[in-house]
Amino acid sequence: MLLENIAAGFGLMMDPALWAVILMAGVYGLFIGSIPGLTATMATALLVPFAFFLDPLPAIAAIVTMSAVAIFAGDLPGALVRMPGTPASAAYVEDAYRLTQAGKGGLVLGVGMICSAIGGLIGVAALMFGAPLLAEVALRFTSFEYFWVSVLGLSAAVIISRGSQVKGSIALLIGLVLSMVGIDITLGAPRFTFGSTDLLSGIDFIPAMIGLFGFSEILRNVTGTQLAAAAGKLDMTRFFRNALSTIWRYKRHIPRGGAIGTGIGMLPGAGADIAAWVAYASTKNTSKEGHRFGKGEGHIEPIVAASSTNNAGLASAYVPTLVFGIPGDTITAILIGVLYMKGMQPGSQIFVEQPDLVYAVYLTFLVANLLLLPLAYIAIRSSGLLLRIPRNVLMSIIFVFCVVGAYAIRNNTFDIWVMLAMGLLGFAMERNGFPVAPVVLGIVLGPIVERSFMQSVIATNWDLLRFFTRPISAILLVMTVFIWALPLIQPLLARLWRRRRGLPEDGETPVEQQAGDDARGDGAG
Amino acid sequence: MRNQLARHPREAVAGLITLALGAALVQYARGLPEMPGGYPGPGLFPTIVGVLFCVFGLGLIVQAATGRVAPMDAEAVDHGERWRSIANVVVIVAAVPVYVVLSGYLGFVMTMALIAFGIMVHLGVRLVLALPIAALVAPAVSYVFGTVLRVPLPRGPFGW
Repeated sequence: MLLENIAAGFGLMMDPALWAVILMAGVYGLFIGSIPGLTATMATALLVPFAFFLDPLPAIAAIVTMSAVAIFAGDLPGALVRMPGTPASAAYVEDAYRLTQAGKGGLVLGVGMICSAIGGLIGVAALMFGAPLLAEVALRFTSFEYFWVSVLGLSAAVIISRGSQVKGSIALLIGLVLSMVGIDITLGAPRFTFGSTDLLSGIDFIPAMIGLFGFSEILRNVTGTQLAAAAGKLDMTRFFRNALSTIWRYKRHIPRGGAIGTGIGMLPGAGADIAAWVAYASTKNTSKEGHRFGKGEGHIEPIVAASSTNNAGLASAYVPTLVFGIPGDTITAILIGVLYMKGMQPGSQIFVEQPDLVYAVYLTFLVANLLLLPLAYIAIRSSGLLLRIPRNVLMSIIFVFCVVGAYAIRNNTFDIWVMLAMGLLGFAMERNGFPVAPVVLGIVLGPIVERSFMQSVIATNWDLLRFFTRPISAILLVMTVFIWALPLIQPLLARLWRRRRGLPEDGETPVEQQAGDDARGDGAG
Repeated sequence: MRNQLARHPREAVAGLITLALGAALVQYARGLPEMPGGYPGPGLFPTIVGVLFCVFGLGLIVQAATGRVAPMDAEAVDHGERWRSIANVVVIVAAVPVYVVLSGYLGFVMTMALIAFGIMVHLGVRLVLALPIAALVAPAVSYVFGTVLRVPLPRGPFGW
């Protein structure tokens, strides 16, 4: 049975058009990821109008490959000009840049590239073995359990993020309100439509994403300061040998980083960028040389850990996506939106009905993480060139894609206005330190929370106790409570850990470490 | 406490807006129909979200008042740069309605080429670069979306 499915998955992969899509998506991810200020989430939002016209497998493959490559490519400008290409690289940008200044840029990127691939493969392994197991459980889910899983996702989106949790919560609520626009699911009453027929079918997801992550990024880029730091030089002699010997020296961080990435990635709502911060902080807390991280010449140790972590998180974010239809991060949130629009319902049923598709998705991940190596090597060699692309030219091209992409899904001018409004909303939020990522999770999870809640209470005639007494519900409830308690217990845990290891107690606590200096934490980078 | 509020006016204003939004949501939700038997229906979730809006809006105000405001990214510094930033935002935002109106007459290719060119020139891209890029990007995008993906892009007087 298993072998049959794998074979069927391979069969689906034998399509040359699919490989062309994968390769093109990889190059695209490399390009967007390596440009500071353009995130992997934005790349996904701009890719969606194309993905929408593809079959499900190539659409998923394109997004998977693009994001895996983009997360590594984010290391490039981090090392060269001290600007993370994607938020997932932000955790270790200081060390990467300082090492490059000290003439070790080749080493930084070599380590980043190989660790990214290894981390990605760890994440894929977690996906391949974890998802089917969880799917078994998920098949027994009723609307009560779906309610709790989506509440868990909403909670994780706010609590396990950086920056102000109050602002993160407000961002999430904005997303929930946007998700309520249109016909209500219980009585069919129009909500927040204000007499507009265009709004009856709700705010279309794709134009909203293009606005929030594409258009707002243009506005942010034309108002921000230009690149200030001078680009460091790369020394490429003995590139692979140096990288491999360094990784070997700090090899213990790879499984740990992979585990952190996998764990956080699997949580609905929390993604690669926050996983990288947690891995950085935990490496700092446990390393004897932790006090040297981010200072002086920088240190390669946290880069080994965190760059394997973010790619692991990226892959394992597909566990809740495939199993429950609940997004693991912003990229998978967009993907779920696309699948819904194509009439596909992600969730445990696809493991029963389309196991070949599931296996093909696993294989795509393997391919993407292996393809990462040659693509990354080419990018590192030509990184000087990538950084010299005039940003203002790029912004006007992205503008064209935002307008066309918003229009293309329903051939509707109204969607262009939606895109503009969401772009302004995203821009205003970012300017005031509100993260944008929770908005998309709110939009995707809102209807799931409401539908599963209303279904449950209507079926049981408002017996609310059932939300707590069903065994799986109770477990999910405990997990949700644990997540809410995390900000309180986590500093305590960190202090205990340091005391036990006999390390000085000056280390900051993981999640809050640099809270605020990068409030635009972006679910997945 | 008043000093703190004055030091973080943005935070306090954001809190007030959030609070007002919450109140408006709750009010709006009261106008939505109920389920038969008097059970809450379409209004339930808007009410919950509205109440939470109020709670977190108050939270923002309290944080601003007690000075517990998370530091934010340093923004554009000198005054000249600030006006430049505002002008850039206005140009990019205005380009959207300009596209919607003009594309009805000129069609997609010409309108987009003009707008892309205009944005680039405004942002300081040299003419020798802006002109060919605008002339290339618009037809290329039109080909991909209009021809390959069969999106009915607005047509101009020459059929494109």
